[in-house]
Amino acid sequence: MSDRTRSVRKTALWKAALTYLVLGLGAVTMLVPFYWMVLTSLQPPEMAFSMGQIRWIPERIVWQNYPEAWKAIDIPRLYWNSIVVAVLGTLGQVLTSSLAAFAFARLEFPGRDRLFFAYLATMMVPGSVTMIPNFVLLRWLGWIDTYQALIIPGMFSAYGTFLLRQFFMGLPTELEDAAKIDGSSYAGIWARVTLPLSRPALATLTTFTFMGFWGAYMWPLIIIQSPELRTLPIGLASFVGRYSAEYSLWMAASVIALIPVLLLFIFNQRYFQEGIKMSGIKG
Amino acid sequence: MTRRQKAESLAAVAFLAPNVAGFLVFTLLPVLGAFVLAFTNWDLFRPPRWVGLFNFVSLLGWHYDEYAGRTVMNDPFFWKYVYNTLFLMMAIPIGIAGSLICALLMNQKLRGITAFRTIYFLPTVCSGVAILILWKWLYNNDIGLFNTLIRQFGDWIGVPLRGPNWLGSTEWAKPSLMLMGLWTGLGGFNMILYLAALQGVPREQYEAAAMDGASAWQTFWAVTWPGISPTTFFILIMSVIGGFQGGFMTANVMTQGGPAGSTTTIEYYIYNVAFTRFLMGYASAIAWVLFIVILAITLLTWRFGGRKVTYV
Amino acid sequence: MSRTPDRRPPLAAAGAVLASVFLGAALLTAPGCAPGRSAREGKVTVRWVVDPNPVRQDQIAGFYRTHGRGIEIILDPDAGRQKVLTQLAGGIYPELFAIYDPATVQVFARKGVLTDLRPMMKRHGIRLEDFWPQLAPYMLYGDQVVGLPDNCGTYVVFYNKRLFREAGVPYPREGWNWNDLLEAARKLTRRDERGRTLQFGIGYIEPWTIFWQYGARMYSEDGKRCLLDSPEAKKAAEFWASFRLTERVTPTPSEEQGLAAMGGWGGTANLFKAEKIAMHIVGRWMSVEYRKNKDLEWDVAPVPQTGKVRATLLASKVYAIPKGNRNKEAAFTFLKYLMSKENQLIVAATGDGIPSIRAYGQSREFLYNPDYPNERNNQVFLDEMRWARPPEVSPYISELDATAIFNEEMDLMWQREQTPFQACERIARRINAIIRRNIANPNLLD
Repeated sequence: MSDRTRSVRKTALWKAALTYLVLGLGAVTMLVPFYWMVLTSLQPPEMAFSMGQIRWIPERIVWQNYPEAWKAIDIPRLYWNSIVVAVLGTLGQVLTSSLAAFAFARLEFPGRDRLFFAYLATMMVPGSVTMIPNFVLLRWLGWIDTYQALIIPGMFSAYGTFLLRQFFMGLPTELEDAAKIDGSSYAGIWARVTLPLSRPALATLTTFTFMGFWGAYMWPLIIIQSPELRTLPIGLASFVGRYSAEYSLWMAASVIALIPVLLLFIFNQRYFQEGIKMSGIKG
Repeated sequence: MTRRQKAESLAAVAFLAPNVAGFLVFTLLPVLGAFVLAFTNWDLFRPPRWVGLFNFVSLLGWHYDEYAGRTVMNDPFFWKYVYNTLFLMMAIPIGIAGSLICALLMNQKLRGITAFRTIYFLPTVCSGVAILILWKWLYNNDIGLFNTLIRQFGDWIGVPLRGPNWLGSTEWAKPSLMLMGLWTGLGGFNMILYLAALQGVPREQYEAAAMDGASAWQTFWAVTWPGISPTTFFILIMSVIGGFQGGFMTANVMTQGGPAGSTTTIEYYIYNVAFTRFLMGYASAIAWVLFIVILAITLLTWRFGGRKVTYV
Repeated sequence: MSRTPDRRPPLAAAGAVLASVFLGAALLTAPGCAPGRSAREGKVTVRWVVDPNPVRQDQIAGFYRTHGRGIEIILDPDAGRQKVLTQLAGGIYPELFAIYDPATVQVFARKGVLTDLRPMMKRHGIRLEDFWPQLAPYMLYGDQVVGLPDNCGTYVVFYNKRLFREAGVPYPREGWNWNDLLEAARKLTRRDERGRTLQFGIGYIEPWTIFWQYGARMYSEDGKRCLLDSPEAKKAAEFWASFRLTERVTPTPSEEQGLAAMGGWGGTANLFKAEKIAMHIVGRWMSVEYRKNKDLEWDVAPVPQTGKVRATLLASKVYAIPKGNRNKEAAFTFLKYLMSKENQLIVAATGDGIPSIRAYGQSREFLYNPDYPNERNNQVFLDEMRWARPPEVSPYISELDATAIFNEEMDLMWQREQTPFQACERIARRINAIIRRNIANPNLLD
């Protein structure tokens, strides 16, 4: 081993150690909210309101909050509704956004940038003032108190289109050109070249969109009336009264509600990591 | 138009159709509806009455108050809340830089890095009413974790230290909310976006830079920064759009917009005007003004920032 | 072209996925497919928009017990105003919804949203005279009855008996005055050697329980002037503020805020429940919460009186039927149940306030509940009714403006940036400016 490689290796080791130290310190603080949620969910209710002096190390652990929360709200029902809404909504949004983003990023057509800007512009209007027009529109469609109302309006976001457009524009064009020369259609390019190259972006958008649908509170609260169609956030809100909250039960149910989002994130991790394998393509 | 261009336009129509159709119905219609309301007086119940520019005059105009003996704004609240909103938005660039640093650290091929990523994302996953309440505890003046730690540190060095009255004072309330937002967002959406973007920077360019003997710092500015500029641009634009419309959740759960209105943002004001004061027309007028401001700033960013963005 | 471009799969696949998404959504929502909904087909439903307190479940169960299951009650949690307002504005009317303060009742009524309940009351034999007369501002708009309450609450002093005993302070008694209370609060406040408060004497006091007694008023009789700059109001404000500013027997907003469940409300309640506050002036509905802490030994006492004007605050919540609703008979059947003995005694038994109908309020069941043998002083709630008043309202200023101004100036006072005198003066000046503007230009208010 030469001196040079040794010193390089030594630097790398130091760098890694430093990274671990910095990230580790940060990680401790980042764990606080999650730890607190779990901790509160494992405490008897009377501990949860002890003057805010949070006991970071529990004296004893009780599991009863989980079965009790399960009994207090119809968790299977709420879960099913949330999953249906989030999965269908996410599929729809990723699909329509990636199509539109491809057009905005890769196709030339008159008025392209102006149309794109109109998309962006609608994001600049606060939700408080569009809420009622939206509600009136859905009433006119006869969609009040239905699954469609929870899923479909959220499927056509300018956000997803913008996100994917930015990513597509950053992709190298060589592969597309090659596909074009091979006579592939635009649809073929979109499906065979652009999408596979954009896995990190698609995984990102999927995660964000899923979380958006999963956590949506105000819109489902207003549009849904039947208990059978309520989603998890609405169910969780029933632990918070006008004067007080059932912290232990609330946190137990919140931890249960958190699981799919965490799983999805962990599952999508490998795509965040995955690089675009360029080697051998260019030559 | 050549045949090729025609074909391309046609393809574009096909690609856009599903999204644009839904967009027209579920986004544009309600937005247009809200804008029309700005020229009316609508109390949510009786039919709207057309009032022309009256709402805009009430919002932006001024009048002479004979009792006070001076000229006053018609709606002094609005200007105060504009200031609050802009103040809170000062955290945006810091947040973006923090997320980028985080993403660079997380982008290394190190053992257990996935665990770190998940942990850093946790505050975003856990966000919501419950966590805001936890923050209220942490910030508590007397018994909160922060002030307890500050006090204990003071004891340790032998100086009687006292932490600020975080959410309870007009000077500290806004910085407290900014600090909270920064910390929560550090490993959140922006970091993930940056991670995805970092994967997209062609490896050849790094290899070329290494060949030229560039330092890490030089490589960052020559390769990484331009390579992720489309994402930076996206994050910047979205943060500005989001920042102007932010602050509802924190105000609603943590501060009620106080103390003394110091954490009331435009968005929270719009909500209150519409749903507590029943002035939907006036709320829409504020939304209009807000819209124009955001649009102008986005256009500026687009013009000047857009130039610096390099798409491979 | 050397090879046939492969056009088939991508767009078609995309179309297929999109179609299946729509189809899936449509299927899931088709009648009968959404599980549970089909069970209600053909049944009359009453959607009851109200805060999701656990007591509501008891109330619904009581309805099924007495009225069978011919009418299905759906509890739809309200969580803030946006929900019910959007639904009303959008023409989707709940059968019954809750309104929590007289100002909002008056606004809804003025805008013509609420059904006049008088004809139905007449038909079903519900008499206005049976309710506590003090509740009129919650129920009446002109000569219409626009909402019916099933509970109400006079503000009384809840106190922690154990803390009183430990501090050697005698329990509060009928006839005590504010100085007695302050004296007790001083003794009940404990600090550590560094001046940090371990236990507070009394929680935040609603200003009007003190202000009215000093002869102060928020508005003039006609509502055209804010009178908070009167000498009485200033004196009251000074005394009221002293609990926090000079005596330090009441937690400051931030001390309290740290424990609030949602926003400002729950702070004091949580501290009292956790035995960190010895007294809390509030209505009876809080006993639902306080009963949850089995170790908490609490009792109630009358609000102290200065002797000049006797007064305390009266809170309530009414249920209204929106005008556009087509299910009025079913809605009223449920409303009638809420006013019936069955439900009124549920209110009494669960601690969710005082029954709104005087006879049930004065019933044996209200005064003593064998399940809670320690709660022997329920008569106090009724005694306070004699001088209880609902919050003041002026028709010339919106509640939001008035509250925002009041809170802003008081916040500055809590931070010692102005004196109580200055705060009162500034509140009156700012509110009066808005009232003048609104009177000159009624457009602004409506």
